[in-house]
Amino acid sequence: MGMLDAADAAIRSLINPYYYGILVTIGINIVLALSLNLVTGFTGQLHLGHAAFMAIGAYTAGVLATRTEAGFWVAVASAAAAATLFGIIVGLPTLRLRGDYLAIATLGFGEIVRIALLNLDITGGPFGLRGIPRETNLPLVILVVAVTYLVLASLVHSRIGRALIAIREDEVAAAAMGIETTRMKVTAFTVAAAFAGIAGALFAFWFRYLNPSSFGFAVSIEMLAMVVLGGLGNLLGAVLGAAIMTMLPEALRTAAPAVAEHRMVLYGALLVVVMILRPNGLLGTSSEHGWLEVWLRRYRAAGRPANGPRGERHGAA
Amino acid sequence: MALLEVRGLTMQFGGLRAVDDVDFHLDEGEIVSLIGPNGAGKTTVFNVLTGMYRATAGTVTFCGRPIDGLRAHEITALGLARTFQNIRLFGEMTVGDNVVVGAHTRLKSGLLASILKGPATRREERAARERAAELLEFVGLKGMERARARNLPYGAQRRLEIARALAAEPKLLLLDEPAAGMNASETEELLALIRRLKERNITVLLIEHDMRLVMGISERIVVLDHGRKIAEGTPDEVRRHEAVIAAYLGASARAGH
Repeated sequence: MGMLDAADAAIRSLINPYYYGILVTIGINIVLALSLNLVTGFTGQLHLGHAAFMAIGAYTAGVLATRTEAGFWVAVASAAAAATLFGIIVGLPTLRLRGDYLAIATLGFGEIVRIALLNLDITGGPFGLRGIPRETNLPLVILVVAVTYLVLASLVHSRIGRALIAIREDEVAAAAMGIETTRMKVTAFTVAAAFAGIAGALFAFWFRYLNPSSFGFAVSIEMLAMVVLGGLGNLLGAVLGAAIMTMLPEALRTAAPAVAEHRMVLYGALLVVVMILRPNGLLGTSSEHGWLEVWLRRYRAAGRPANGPRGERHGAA
Repeated sequence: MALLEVRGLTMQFGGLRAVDDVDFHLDEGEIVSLIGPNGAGKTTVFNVLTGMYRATAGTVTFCGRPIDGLRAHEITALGLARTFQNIRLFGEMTVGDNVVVGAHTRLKSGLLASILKGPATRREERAARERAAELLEFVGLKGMERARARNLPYGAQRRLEIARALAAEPKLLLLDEPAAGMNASETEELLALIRRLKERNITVLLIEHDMRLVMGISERIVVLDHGRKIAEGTPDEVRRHEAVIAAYLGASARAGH
């Protein structure tokens, strides 16, 4: 911690607190986008509830920090563990589902978590959780971003990572090659949940106040937009997407407050433009197929009798 | 002892009996073809053997061990690999990665080893790459490792599917219409490739419509029609078999005229 504190003092002497805060937020969002990319970009599973894992991490850390003597690192580790546990519990049943069904199930999970946080006593309900100490600083966030990036980069270039990409490309063929598809998908989902939990803990120790509305459906969609904008299945793309999507509203707020008020409209327009000009995201793969087309192809394939054993079974039954 | 023993295999989809009480076996080192008109149930047999469907009735024994009811990845691990009638490569992955994925069950590194990449994992990875290169050379795709699978020409994609299946180190290889869409010279190369599999001690069960290929390579032929086995024997026996001529060869001969 000593070295991090020294680095923090150096950084604070160089940049003003406003930019410092934006950089911390960018870092937290990078961790979220990177981890979501493992599930959605590399494994090809549309996950619409990533904010829920962030919430579980944030509240675990927040409750421990305010109600127990647990230190920062214990709180962060507990946040990761809690998110991991929920990742397994949610992943096991839902990842047997395909396509639209998985999206709906993860969306439902996200809402369940938000509503639970809203109604529990220990989380402070709608009033939120106050009094969390500020322990997150920029060097720490940079360290977590670096570790997340290195772990995920190593993972996607490994036996497990290849299996995940194979599942995205053709789940039937992946199973025929000896890949336990459900187990692999749960693995990706759980690793992503763990990192989202850590990001949540950093969030809690930075903003010092937690409210269930910070982790709603729109937040999950915003994370997805970061990944899609940067490029599905591209780690640097997730970094870029997170940075742009964090800075944009800030830039608008100062440059054009009137536009900032309706920034969700602008996001929508921006995403449409990017999808038209660069269908694979800013740093997407060189393939001429866009993510939308790939997904549509998968969905159509899932329902078409002639395109595979599962389809045949479905069609004939 | 037979390498594969199929008894009373039945697969029912609702009111349709796609495979009906089929018996056949494969001895080690044999090349056997499964033929029959479209919709005869050939691919359904493959899907049952590889664990993608669960048979309605019947037993499948592989290497003396019942495998019906096992899941696809468990069957692959036991040494049974397949290719697909409609090519199912991992299109966005490289040719080399496609083959290495085929070796998934032969590699060990789990989640932590995959992230930390210690010496053992790196050694395993290097060996898998070398073996993939060797298999690519075997199927005639030497030096193509870095190409994207979906950019390969059609015939090469079919051969890549074979290399990927071989990476699983199968004792029995199921080839589902490997010559479909190939021209005469490509089919000739494929014939030579299947013959060389025999040298590697791999037993082959082949679904194929190209009769020249089937008659030229098979030691035995099993004929299905409407889900039932109507004949079995050497190419000569099958060629002369009345029911086969009526159900299949005759029909296609008439269609050809």
